[in-house]
Amino acid sequence: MNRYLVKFEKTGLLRYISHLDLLRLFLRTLKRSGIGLVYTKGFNPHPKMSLAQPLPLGYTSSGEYLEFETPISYDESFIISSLNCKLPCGIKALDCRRVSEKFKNAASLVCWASYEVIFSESAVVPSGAQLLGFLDQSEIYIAKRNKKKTGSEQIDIKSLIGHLSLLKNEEDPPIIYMKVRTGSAANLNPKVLMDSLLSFCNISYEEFSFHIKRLELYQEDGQSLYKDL
Amino acid sequence: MRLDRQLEKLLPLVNKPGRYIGAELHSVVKDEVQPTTSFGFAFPDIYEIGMSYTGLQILYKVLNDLEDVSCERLFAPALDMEELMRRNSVPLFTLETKTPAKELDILGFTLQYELCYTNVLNMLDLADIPLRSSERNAAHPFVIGGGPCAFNPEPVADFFDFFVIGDGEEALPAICKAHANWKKNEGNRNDFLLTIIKLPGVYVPSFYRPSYKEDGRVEVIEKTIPEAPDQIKKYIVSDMNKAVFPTMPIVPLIETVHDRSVMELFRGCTRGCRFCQAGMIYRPVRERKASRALRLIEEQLSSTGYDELSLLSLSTSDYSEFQTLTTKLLKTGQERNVAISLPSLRLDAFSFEVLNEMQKYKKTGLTFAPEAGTQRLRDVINKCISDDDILNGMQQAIRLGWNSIKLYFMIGLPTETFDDLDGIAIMAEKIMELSYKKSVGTKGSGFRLNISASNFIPKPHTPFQWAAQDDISLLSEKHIYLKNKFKKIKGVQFNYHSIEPSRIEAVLARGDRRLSAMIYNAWKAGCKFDGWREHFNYDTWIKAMDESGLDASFYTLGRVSGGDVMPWSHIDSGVLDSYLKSEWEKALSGIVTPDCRTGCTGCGINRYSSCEREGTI
Repeated sequence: MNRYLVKFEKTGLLRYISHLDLLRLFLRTLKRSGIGLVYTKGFNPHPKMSLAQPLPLGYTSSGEYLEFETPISYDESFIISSLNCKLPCGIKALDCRRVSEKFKNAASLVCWASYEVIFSESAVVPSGAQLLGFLDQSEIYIAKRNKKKTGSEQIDIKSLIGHLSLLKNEEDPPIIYMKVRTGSAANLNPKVLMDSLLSFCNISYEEFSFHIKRLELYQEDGQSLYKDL
Repeated sequence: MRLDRQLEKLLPLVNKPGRYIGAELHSVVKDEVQPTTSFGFAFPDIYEIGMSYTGLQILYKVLNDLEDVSCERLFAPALDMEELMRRNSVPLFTLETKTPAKELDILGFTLQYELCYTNVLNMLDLADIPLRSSERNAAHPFVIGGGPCAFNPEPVADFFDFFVIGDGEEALPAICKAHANWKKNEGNRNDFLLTIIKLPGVYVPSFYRPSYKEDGRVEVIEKTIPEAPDQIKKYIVSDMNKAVFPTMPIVPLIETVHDRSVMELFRGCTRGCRFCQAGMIYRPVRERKASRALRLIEEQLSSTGYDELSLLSLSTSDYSEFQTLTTKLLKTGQERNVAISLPSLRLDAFSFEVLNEMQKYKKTGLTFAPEAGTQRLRDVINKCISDDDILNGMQQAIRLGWNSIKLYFMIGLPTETFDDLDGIAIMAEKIMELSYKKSVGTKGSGFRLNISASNFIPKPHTPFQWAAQDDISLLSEKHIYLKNKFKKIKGVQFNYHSIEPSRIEAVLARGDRRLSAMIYNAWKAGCKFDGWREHFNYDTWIKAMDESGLDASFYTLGRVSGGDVMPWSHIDSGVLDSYLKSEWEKALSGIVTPDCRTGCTGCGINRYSSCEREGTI
């Protein structure tokens, strides 16, 4: 069995393509590269290929992961260079590792993700003190639509926040750095956290006053997905 | 000027922002050296529809292959995007370099269906380009139109500087070359128009002036300058093996309607169905050799990574090397894990063999278009297929395991009676019987038959250009009649197109130049995306027509084409008027005209081009 886990970035205008668009893009890129894929058996065969964690539309990222299985073995550096010469500008393979048999799958390992919230020049940004005040609350409730979509319920997201801080540079616009729960077990959308934070700070904002970049995905213990392959 | 910064602010706020970003694989950005002529290829509908159009890929390549020319794409923004663009004063822009449309040299609209006309106006308005050609000056692009609707350009004549009639892949480079020369010589707008009217296929509407009789019909179409040609002959690409075809088509980043590799096998059709405009205006048949098609397919699949391939033509089974090609394609498909789809197949044994092989494991639906329910009416429209052909075909399909079949019919065809409608129901019943016979002894049939009925729309340059369209009440009566019939037939799903858009389409298809005012009024009153059921607004159209002092039934009933001169009489499709007339008379007497591969039927296209398939079967 030849399984690979490719780390890649999604930048520029390509951040406006969806999770499914990205899957289709990789399928075509692999076909163009001549890297064969293993297909599932049965009446409706589909390639064994998946993305570790969907990235919301409009986010950029420097830490996305693609996992796939090939019928023959390839050199990792060959996969990186083959992909990169066939990928459209905006998606770039950064690393590739061979995955062992006992490795479950990348999606099930994801527990945390780190993000940067980059404010535009004109945006009003919460102060460090406001941020501390926000985190000092014993509970942080947000309204979440319940499963039947008949109404909303209050959910405490405090336990889902691993880290939240303000990075200030002299020249660049300020950045909020966060590490939050991500994955199938527990998930906090950084946009939801920002909504809650900004409303706590009484800051009204427009959709384009900041943009979110995912930096990295982590396992439960905070280690990289590439640990213990 | 580039609009990147303004656009960045809008993209997070709209649905499917991927429509507006460009940046696809194989899109061409020529920003290092500014080419002399910048051409904008505009499709008057949203990205997902426009990108499914193969003509765009061909012309995009042809123009970008020229050193002096850059070709960029523009699409109609969806309503949410349009609203934001208007609110933030962002004009219509090209996807490649986000350049405002107004800064282009030539803005070319492809006119694939009449109901896109209001979108053309809306896009010009969004681009801040004056809608009427008479209001444009040196600061504006030349706005040009092409595609099937350009064969009767009169309804939109006021809005275009010129039209290109016929095949575009050789005509457009010639026009762009003339433009580059003209630009270098710093001539005025009129100089350029005077130069290009010498090129085949170029029609400058402002050089012609129609006048009308008291009853509303066109009396005469006069030239306003002596240099203008009397007849505008369509441009014909004579050799498809020399014609350019993209091996590196643009691969969209978001899912489009037809998101796949496409190979055009041939242009034209020899069948001569009398309602079919494509079958008349794309004559003669010009094939691409199978060896060349296969090579192009290999290159296209390698460069794009598509996992689906579709063949394009008006009648795939009529391709002279059909067996050779499909046999090889089956192998290619298996080797490369590529699904092959074959539209426009006929119901012959070999087609089934191929289809069955291609869809061995997963049978997608089978679609077929008998068009009319009785032999008599099929003879009228020259759809040369018998009841037996249809039923044998259906029996084979059912035996091979297809359990979903869709049949297309047209309602309101000339001479149609309720007996012809009964014929549709009888055919459906017989097909259902076949499916029951097959399912005896097996677990449930699960067989579904879909009957889809569209409304007949008489089109210019066809033998039915003189025919009337049924009025709304008659079409509606026919729909209800069929609906009630089909209620009683188990397992058959019947659906039909709405009537009002078909009526407006009929008006626009055979319209004269006076319709420009009506189209303008309709757009002004809010009409756009008229081809979309949810956006079409009949009442607004009728109001616009009233305001312009026009009567819809004058056009739908065919009175508009009843005289010696028709609004499109100066456009020469290559098919003789006398041929169309004799076909119309034969239709009314129910006499068929054979496929011209069995021998020339005298349409007249061979005056301009040789017919490679004449007398080959």
